[in-house]
Amino acid sequence: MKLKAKTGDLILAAVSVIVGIVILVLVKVQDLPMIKRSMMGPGFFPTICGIAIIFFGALLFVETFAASKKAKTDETVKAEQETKILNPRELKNLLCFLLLGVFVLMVSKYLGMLICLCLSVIVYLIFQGKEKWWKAIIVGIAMTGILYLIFVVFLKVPIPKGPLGF
Amino acid sequence: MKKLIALLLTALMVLSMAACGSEPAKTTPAATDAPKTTEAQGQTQAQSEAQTTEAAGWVPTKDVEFVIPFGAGGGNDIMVRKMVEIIEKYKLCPVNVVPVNKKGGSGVVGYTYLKDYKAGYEYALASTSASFFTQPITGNSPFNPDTSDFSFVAHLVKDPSVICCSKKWDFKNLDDIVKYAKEHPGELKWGGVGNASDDAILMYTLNTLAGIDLTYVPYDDQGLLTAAVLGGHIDLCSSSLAESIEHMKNGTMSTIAAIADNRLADFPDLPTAVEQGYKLDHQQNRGIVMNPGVKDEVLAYYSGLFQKVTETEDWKVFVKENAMADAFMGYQEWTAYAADVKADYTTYLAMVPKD
Amino acid sequence: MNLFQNLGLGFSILADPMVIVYSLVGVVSGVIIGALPGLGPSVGIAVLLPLCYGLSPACALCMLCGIYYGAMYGGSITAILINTPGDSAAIMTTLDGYPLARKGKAGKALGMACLASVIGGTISVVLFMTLAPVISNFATSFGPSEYFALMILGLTSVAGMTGKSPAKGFLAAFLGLFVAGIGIDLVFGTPKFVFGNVNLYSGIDFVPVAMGLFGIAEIICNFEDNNIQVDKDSLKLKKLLPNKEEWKRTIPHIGRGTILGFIVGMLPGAGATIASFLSYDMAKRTSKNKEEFGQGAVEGVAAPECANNAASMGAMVPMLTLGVPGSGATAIMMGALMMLGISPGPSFFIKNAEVAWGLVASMYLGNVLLVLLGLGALRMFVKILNVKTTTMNALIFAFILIGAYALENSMFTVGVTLFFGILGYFLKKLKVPAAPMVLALVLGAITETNLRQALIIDNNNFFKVLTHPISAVILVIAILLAFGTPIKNLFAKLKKNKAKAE
Repeated sequence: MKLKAKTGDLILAAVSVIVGIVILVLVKVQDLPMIKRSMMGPGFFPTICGIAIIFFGALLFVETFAASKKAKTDETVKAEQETKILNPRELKNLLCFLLLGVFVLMVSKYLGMLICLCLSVIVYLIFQGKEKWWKAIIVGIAMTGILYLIFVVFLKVPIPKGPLGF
Repeated sequence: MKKLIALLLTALMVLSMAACGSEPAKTTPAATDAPKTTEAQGQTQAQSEAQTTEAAGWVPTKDVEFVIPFGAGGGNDIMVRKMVEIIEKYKLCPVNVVPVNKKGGSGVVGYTYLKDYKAGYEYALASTSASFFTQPITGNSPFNPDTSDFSFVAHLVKDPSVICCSKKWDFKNLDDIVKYAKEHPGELKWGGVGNASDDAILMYTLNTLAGIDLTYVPYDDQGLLTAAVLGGHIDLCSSSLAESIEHMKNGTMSTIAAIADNRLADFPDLPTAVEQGYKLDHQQNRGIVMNPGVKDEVLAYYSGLFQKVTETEDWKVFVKENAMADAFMGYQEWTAYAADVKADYTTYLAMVPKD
Repeated sequence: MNLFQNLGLGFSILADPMVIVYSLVGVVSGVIIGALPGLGPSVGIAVLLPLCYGLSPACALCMLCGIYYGAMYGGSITAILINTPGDSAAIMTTLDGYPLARKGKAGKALGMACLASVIGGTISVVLFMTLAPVISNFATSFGPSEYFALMILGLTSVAGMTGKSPAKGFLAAFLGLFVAGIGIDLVFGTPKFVFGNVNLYSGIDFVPVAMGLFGIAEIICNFEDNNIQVDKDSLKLKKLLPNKEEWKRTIPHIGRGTILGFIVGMLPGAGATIASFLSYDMAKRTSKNKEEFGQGAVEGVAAPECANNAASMGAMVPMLTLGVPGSGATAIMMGALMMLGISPGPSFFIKNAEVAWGLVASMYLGNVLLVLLGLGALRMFVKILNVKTTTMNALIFAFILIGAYALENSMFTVGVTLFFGILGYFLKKLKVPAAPMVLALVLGAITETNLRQALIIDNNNFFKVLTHPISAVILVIAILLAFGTPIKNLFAKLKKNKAKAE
């Protein structure tokens, strides 16, 4: 997890160029011409976007290298380039939210959305270890109650319901 | 922790305040939202229902979902919610009918949601509009608008429309337009919503019938289209009465021809396109469908339910206010008619240039 | 009939205490809904519309108007306190509001947002009242080519948001523009980048994208218990109100932002979100404290907030006088009016004078209630900041997911939010600004549609599209804004070099 800002920028530049190319390939594959029946075709804007993304990706390479050159003499630029941008606790947090999000996405249909949200809040709080488990459960259930009042009773949103009827 | 509880409590308080404040409105009988009726209410409703329904073979025993494949506030949404309101007001159904908006993909998202239930599922209905037919024909929907993918419950109304013209022209009828368009091919612009919609069909049909070349300009929203016609950026459009009757009556848009089976009650002096010698009578059909393979007795039940709805005074007022044309058909008739409509759309859409 | 007589007629409907009660109900529920992530005025009005059945037209109108403003202000509460815009019009408020909150000035930021909203709202009610019957034609003078020019003007403000690395800012903008292009092509009906997924047919809405990029990304990064300390003292009414110096700084921006917002709001389809973007950009360009923007400038909160409220009022003009709704919220309000048996249109102010002026009166009432509620309940809102960060994160997470679901009643939008949340986290780490992406996403689809419509209307003559009088003027302004600073710098440099050479 020792990704430096500079490396990050280079990766971003590379990814942008790839994304741009993928867009251009998709435009070709999905048969989206820039001009169709002498009118502006469906592929016009996407093609421009693809080219622009490649261009600015390349520009980012240039910017980063220019900054590296400057970094040799300028301490602040150097410090900026050497900062670590990722930290393990954040990534753990990211993974946690990602898994819980996917859980809500997939399981709501069977268990009901409110129950899934309640469970994910409790799991998250226990996982983070900042609250005692019983507090986590109270918070989770209280929040579910509020969500139920706002979204089901008040706003009448037809959320996916589980076997228990909510 | 104390603070957290305080926060939750305050939030609850605000909410309950809001909820109490709105209480009087909720108790009015006209509320068309889908209230979670308490069990007691549900039972009394069911009892009164049992006495009034004539011996039907099948009666729903749990809440029925009514899928609206469009967003809130649109024509389809308003129509379905009105029907639900009438069903509740006259206690026509022993269970709740709950409208559910599932918008996106010109209705396809809604029908996908409906088809997530198994074939023959008895508790989900969906409303149809033009895109029910046009999307599959243009290859943008996997569902065929026929009995292989749907059961047809009832046909409700047709939407007559009016061909309108910007004030910057003094066209009086279709002949004037055709005459000008013949002399100036490609100059007149016809605005419409969507690219293979009823609006486009009308224009391309007129092009074919009269041998002229009007240019179609697609919009994604009726409001913006109306504004463009008012501002003279677009020359012609077709519009349903509900959308721009004020402009037609005030003369901020000139009316050219009615697209309807008969002359419109609001404009008795406006001849229909057919009267003017052009066979333009394509109208949007609004009906109700279910999943395929639903038993006839179930279809008969719902068909009868909606027949009762369309017979109420409330419905007649609603149809008149929204300038629709009442055209109720039961499930058998609608099934046969849908096949005709599908065939018509296939013919019409062949006129819309594809590539 | 003169103005005051009309106003008198309007205010006479306020004599009924029930009208005030319903107005209050509207404002309170509007603020709550607006504060919920993702849910804005249009959702608020749509879901609460059924409550209006059976009310008198006056009560119903006052309640709906209350929801409308309440939601407009409510969106800024979460934007300021937890960096999650409550609705799309509050996206720009996060840029300076959240930094202010982190500096311990949450009360000040909320107070500013509330006052700016109310001032913007009140000025535009006056504009509305005096101008509505006259200027409705202005809205229709904008055709596709003029809209195209306006959207280009909006896109130039990307240049002002790029921060240190222009490449990163423009990368984000073009990515947004690409996402805007997903869906069924309007002109040809060709599916673009949908891969057979029906949910993508009508494109990706920017609200879940914004919720992900701002909200989810924020809770991923923010887990330390570095609770923002809010001084109890700072929540006293006197401290909430801007001091003399702050007034001096913000008043010109509020004035300009309001007028800009009102005009943009009046154009059908442009709406409050774009108004807030443009207003923020204008404030940043014209401010003497440019460098403070993004770090917590009060102007940065005031400008978008007054503009979005002014725009919501402006949107009423074409809706009432032409029957052309300019935004989702006004479209639903128009439905509500028709339900009450009032059809908006050219003769609205003549035929329905009582309702029309009653509406004006209810707008004043709504604004007054908003001040009372906004400043009175501030302490309660700020309490949110005392909740432990992890607990808060979990709650925001749940609210965002269910809010995303409620947007279209679909799990798909929840997925979109989650996807852009993860993407937003990495972009944030790489210091790629998220605002240009959302801006391009909002403006991109409108730009493309209008350019293509304009081309069809002008027989595919691009030059003709650019030379419509109004569009030409707007485009020149856009070019000056986009390249003005570099050109100025260039001249300055040349001068310097010349001086050196001499």
